[in-house]
Amino acid sequence: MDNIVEMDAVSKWFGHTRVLTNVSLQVNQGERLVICGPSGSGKSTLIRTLNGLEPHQQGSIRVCGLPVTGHARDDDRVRSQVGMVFQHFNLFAHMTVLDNCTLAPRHVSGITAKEARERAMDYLGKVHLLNHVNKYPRQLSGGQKQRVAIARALCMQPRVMLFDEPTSALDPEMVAEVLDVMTDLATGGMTMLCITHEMKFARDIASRIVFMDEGAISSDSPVRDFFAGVGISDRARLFLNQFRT
Amino acid sequence: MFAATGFKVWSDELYQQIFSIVSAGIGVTLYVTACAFTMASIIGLVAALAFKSPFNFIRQSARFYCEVVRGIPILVLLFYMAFVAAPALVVAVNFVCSYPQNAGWIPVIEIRDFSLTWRAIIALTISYSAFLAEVFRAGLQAVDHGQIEAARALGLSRIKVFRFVSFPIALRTILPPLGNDFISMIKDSALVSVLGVGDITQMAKMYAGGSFLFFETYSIVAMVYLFITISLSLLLRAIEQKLSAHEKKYHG
Repeated sequence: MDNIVEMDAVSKWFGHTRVLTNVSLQVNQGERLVICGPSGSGKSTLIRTLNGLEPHQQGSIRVCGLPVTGHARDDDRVRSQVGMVFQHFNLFAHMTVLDNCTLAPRHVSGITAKEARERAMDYLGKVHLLNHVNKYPRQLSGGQKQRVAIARALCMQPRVMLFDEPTSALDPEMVAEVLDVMTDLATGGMTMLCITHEMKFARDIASRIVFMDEGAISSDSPVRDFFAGVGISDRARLFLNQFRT
Repeated sequence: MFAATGFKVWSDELYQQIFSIVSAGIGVTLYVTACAFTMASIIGLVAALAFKSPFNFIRQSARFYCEVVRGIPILVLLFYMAFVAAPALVVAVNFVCSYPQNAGWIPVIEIRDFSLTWRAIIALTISYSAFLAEVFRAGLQAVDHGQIEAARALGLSRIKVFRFVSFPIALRTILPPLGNDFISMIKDSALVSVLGVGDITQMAKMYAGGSFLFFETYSIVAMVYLFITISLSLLLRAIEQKLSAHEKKYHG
């Protein structure tokens, strides 16, 4: 049970277009993966197959020991253990910050309203938002919204967190406050899979870097090797050079 | 002018008498509208969900129902319901229940047992359900897909996603057209008077027919309807404002 994520020869098609080709990936408890690559290389799709938001057609996926099959019963079980943070926050617009965080714990985990509230306040404190618990998403800045989204996912006490470009929709000024929260999470020992273009952040917190190209994993290397350019493809080196300049 | 008319109504004995007769129908009007609107909302919502069903047969059936119902005038539907479908339904029920009825366990239903009020309510329900289905469909379609995805990713089942996320969001979007339809149904409920159901219009029709005081009677009727619809639109606006609290950018 050390393996949190086990993907074995997964392929996926959108109609006739093959978007994932034979992807195999293992992630152990406590590892922090950064997934990068050019746009359209299948990074998002890869992460979204892990909790069944996108169905896969070939291969097998197990997350936290549970199979992802495309059946609602299986996938709902996986999803309650996997936190996900989206590029566009996707907060529930008609609910306050606090209600956003208590909805799933109450109605999926089945804890009482009081417990859910306490848990939410705890995590909202960790993302420094205790002053905003009764506001609606409309009233928050982008960085604040994304921190609420992180707290909302954490309230389910997931065993792994998936981040799908969490800072790409933010003003440069707000990127740091979100990355700080993510760094805290990484130091706390959370298993994380992040898609991000923040290479400095990747270098600081990642244990492994996965480079994707044309729907396949082109390299999967320890962070030091990746940035030293050891064992990576020319395409990856080209990608990396853009961030050096 | 309103105030003047109002004053005349309250001070004049004749108007007072007409008002007390006509207002005996207010209860029926509200009852018919409330029952029909509630049922029409439920059927409309079911039809709206059926539009998105993965099964082609269900989708097509819902489409067919709405197209047919939308294309028939309410008045025709009312007559059809009252004099064709209702008697047929009674016959059908009696046929299905013939065994326990022969055994004497349950009584045979007579066509006249099916009250005209309920025949009218069912006709209004059916005709409005087609319009409400479209309203619900539009509302559900407008829900931001990202929020549904986020709810799914948290492990909420499809039904809970609908209950806590899609439906509440859709409801806020469609409240204005929904209220609009409610007010129009209050007005359309006047059509039930053609079946002799004792609503405001029917009361007025009978009184005016006997007294020949057409101007006085129908002026009062118009004002009673106006009073109901205007109070309702004020109420709806208040509800709308309360529900859209999340759209205000700042507190206070």
